[in-house]
Amino acid sequence: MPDWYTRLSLGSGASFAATWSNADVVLVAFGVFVILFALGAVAASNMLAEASFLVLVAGGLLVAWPAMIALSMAAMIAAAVVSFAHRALAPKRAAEIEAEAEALAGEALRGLADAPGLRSDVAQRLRERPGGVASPPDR
Amino acid sequence: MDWAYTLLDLGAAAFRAINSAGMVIALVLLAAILAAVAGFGGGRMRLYGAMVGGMVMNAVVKAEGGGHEAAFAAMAITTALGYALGGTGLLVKLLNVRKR
Repeated sequence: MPDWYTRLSLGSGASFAATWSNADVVLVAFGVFVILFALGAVAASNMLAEASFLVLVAGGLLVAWPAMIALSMAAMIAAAVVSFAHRALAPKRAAEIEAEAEALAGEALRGLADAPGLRSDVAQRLRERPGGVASPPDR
Repeated sequence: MDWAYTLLDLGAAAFRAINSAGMVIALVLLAAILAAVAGFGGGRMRLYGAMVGGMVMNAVVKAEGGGHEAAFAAMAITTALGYALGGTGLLVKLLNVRKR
């Protein structure tokens, strides 16, 4: 390992995992997250994407809170970079995923607007949102 | 049942570390809201949403000086509560709150 990393590792403090420093856990968890998330994007596999999320959770549980924040921010940046790269390399698949997400969000808003007990003005506002949550025909 | 007592003991230690009932309620409510919103994607997504809220609780307990075990127990309890409370009913109740 390079000298700067050894110093960083010693300075980051001990993690909950025996003999591992916070920096070691963050480095390993981040590496595994990036690999799984990138593979999940390439293979369009939900299972790999979920596994990458669970790796982040496990890594976060083992480290101190500043390291948790560093790991979360690094993971968000990596996810954004992988998403942009995926959009550039496979625009058709990325458009399909976006359409699926929009359909899911529209369905969720429609379900919420039609939920029993919701105030009518709030339901109306949800239906008027851009994205096309149409009023049901019987109302 | 020993594990349940241990979990509750550690949860109490986490509560003492935070030392603010309002903060605990806010974090559990956050987990429930995240679970409710993620729950539109299915039951597993609801669990993942609750877990994100639980991880926020974990970070707060650690930042307030609680140990790793207490933070883990707080995360588990918050995730369970968030999953249990986070549903469409909660969102309806929150959306029905009138602005003053």
